Amino acid sequence: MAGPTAGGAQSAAPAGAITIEEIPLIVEQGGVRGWLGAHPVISYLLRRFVLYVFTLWAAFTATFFFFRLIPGNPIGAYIESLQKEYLENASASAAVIAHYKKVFGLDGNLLQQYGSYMYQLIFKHNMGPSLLSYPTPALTLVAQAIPWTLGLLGLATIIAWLLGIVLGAFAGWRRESRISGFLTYCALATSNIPFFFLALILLLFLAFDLNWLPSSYPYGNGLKVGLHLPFILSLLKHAILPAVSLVIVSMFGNLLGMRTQMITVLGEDYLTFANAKGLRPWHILRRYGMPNCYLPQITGLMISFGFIFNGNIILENLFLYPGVGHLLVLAVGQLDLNTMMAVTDTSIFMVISAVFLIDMFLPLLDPRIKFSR
Amino acid sequence: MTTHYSDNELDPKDFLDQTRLSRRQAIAAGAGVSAAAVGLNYLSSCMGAQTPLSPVGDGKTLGKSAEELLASNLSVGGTPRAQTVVTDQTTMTVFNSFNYFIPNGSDYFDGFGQVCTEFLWYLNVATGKLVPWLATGWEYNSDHTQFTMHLNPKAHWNDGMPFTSKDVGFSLDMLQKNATLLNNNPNTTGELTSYTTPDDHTIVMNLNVTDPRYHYNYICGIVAAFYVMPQHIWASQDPTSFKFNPPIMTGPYKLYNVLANDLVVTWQKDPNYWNIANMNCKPEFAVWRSASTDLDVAFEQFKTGVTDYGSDYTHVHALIKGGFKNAEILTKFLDPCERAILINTKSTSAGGALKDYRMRWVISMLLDRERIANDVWVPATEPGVFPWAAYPGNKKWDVPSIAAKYPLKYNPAKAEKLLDQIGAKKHSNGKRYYKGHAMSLQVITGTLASAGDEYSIGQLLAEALTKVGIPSTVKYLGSSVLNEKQGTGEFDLLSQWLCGELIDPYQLYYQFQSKFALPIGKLAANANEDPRLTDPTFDKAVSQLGKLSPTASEATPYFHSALNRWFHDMPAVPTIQTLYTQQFNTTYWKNWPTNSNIYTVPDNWWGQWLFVLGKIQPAGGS
Repeated sequence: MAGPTAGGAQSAAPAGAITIEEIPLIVEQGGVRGWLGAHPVISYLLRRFVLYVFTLWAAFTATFFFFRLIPGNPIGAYIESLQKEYLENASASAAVIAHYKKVFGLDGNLLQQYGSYMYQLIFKHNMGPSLLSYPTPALTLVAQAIPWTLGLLGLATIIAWLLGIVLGAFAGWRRESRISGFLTYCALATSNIPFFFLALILLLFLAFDLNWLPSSYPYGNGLKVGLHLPFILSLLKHAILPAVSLVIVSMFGNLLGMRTQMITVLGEDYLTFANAKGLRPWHILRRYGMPNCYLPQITGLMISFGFIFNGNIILENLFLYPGVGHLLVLAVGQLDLNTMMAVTDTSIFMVISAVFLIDMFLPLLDPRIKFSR
Repeated sequence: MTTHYSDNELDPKDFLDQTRLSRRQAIAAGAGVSAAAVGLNYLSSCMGAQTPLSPVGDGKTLGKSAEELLASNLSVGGTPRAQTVVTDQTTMTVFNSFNYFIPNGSDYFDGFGQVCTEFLWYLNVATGKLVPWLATGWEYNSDHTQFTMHLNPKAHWNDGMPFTSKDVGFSLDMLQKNATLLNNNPNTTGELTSYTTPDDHTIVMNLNVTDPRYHYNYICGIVAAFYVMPQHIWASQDPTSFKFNPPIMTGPYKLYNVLANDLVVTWQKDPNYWNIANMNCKPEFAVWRSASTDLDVAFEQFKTGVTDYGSDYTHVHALIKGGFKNAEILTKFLDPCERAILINTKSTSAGGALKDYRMRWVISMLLDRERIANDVWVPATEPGVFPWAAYPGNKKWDVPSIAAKYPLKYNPAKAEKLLDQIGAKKHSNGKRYYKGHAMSLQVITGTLASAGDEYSIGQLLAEALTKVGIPSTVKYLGSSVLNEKQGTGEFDLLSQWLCGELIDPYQLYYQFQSKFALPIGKLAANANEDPRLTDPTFDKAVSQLGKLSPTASEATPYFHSALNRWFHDMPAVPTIQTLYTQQFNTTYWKNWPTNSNIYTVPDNWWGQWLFVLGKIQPAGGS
């Protein structure tokens, strides 16, 4: 009779026989794999980091080839526009175009351009000169624009987030109250209004009709940027309209998210226990309710921070705020590929880095989250 | 009495207890907020975020609306309105740099090239006469290989330093050492082998070729010419990155301020201007500002006197018809470039029919110039007859007997006969075939259909071609694509313009020579090279012409034979004279150019605009 097959070994055993379950043999791995197996946290960090670097490379590569799909020759078009205005001698154009194509990294075939671009980016941290403000490097233009974007959108995001979670927590905690109902309906209506529409309404009434607030630009004419009161006051006054339009819409979005989270924890045992201990409701809300709702909100906030570096294109252009979004529009207008890529790649870098940091730090914020494969 | 609260209800007292800040906490919170504000401000400052590139203005200055400005007698530059001339322009993008030699180193329409910069000579296009300015005269040696320029000894820079031949020599050296700088005309520097400066007001240039037209390079004909830069400032700078801010030039105005928020650049009269005795401009301030892109807004601001020069013909014409007294329209200013259809003489479309000069004449005969001049163009203009603008100064180049031989007339019947003659026969399906290929053509243009102009001209031509059995379309292309297509010869017909002639027709003919006819796919440098014409007969006439002074009597037969051959070849078909209007508000300033005396060429982005500012007078309005 043929011996038992692997699949039917146990079923083929005679009744009453003692069966010894095979314990899988644990073979200790040596080398890097073994060391990583023994250090799960470092292994996790390493894997995340490799994934982070790969994602960055893939995104930068996709961006490069995407922008190169734009037909035509941006430098030739720029020089020709000068020719049309008699500002560039036509006979010189071929040599000048060839020179600037090289300067802007547009000479050679597409793969050569890509190789040169990646080399410059990785080893020289250089994305080439900008056409908008030649010869200022494109990255410098982005660096000059980021403070404006960060100042406006960063602060607005933080304010909207703080207000959103406080009001959302309250709306969830007291979900039966009239105020909660009012807030919820407001949030449902407002969070779906495009912020630029709200911005236009605010502009119309507060800037153009009532003339209370300036309609554009980050500060008044003739003011020198610096640490002095007139500039700071002007900066704050000019930031009110764009910030308010963004805060209102984002705040109500956050409110709805926080309210939903809060409602899900209301019936939890630890709240009943805290209540039974005689703790005051406010204390229970603050110390037991809200901390258990933070997690998705913090993740959302971090991702929002990453997206801030896109600049809010519509908002910045509506209020003529010289941030990253405004820079991108200018660069597109002049087909300034280097600046377009510098803006896009900076944004990509920030979003991917933000996600990477969330992966790193969430386990510290919430002990329920563990590093795992 | 104790109030009871349900499980998830807030006790207000508890809430206040929990949220009340102690004095210390309040101070700490305040300090934190202040530190954050200061930190962000510092972040902005330290990262150099001072100079935004290009906001779009809305006509406000120093927080005031246009109406408030007028009520307070201020201009958009914040200067006294009655002492300020305000000029509208398109959107400016550069506010911190005045370097002509690098991409986006300066805006050419912000006043810098008009009232701060001066040129050696100016051409009065209206009269065809040269106006000596920073230079007083020139002479050539007998074989036109040495050019001597004499400078005006009175001229000096705005900072008081004398303007000398050393500055001219330095500027030539700078361009020769940096061949890829913009505004570097190879005719100026490429032909120059050496120069000497025998004294501060004379420079002698030795050329490597015979060039009786070398002086053209130093004449501001259209917009600009050779820029002389101050050696004492530029010598220590890298011209490929220098911002030149504030700029020091020789003109009657100096930079007053730049309001980047409002896209306004203001220039102030220089009381020590070297030529104030001859040209004492009356406006104390000259403002260039970016006009609103909304025509209605721009018009309202023109009407209310926010600007002295701007708006558009249709609005202002209606305003004047309605009885408005403080506006004038100049309707006699022709652009130096006629509208034209450029033909790719190497195109393989339609069986390569465009290689045959007779097919190019078919194109000419299908252009209804009268209709374009009267119905398409606003206001009505004149059909083109010669390949240059109909300036009084150009009359001397018109040869009516040659024009009569090559009439630029709309004649579809004759066009059909000509098509039959060249073998492009119409088949039973109503379409024409040439050498076995069904004929079809495409007109490309860089003007959007909504803007009219060249697109409409192309549309009319496409319709006329379709009617005679050659299905044709018109297509708008964005600037970078258009540049590539026309430069590499990947087009059939291009509805654009024909530029070149300004002082004499040799300038136009020069770029139609066979040596510039590159193979399809290779980028041509100039629009006039795009037709890729090859005609040795034409080349011979042009080559002879190049060796002769345009004023020499021996040149006349060559001028005639070149024109004759150019018409015969028809690489670019003139359509209409390009009439542009200028709208002036006379509330604050009067004595603007009129139809009877346009002074020179009153385009506010040309170097010659200086002379318009020299003529206007205060109108005393408010």
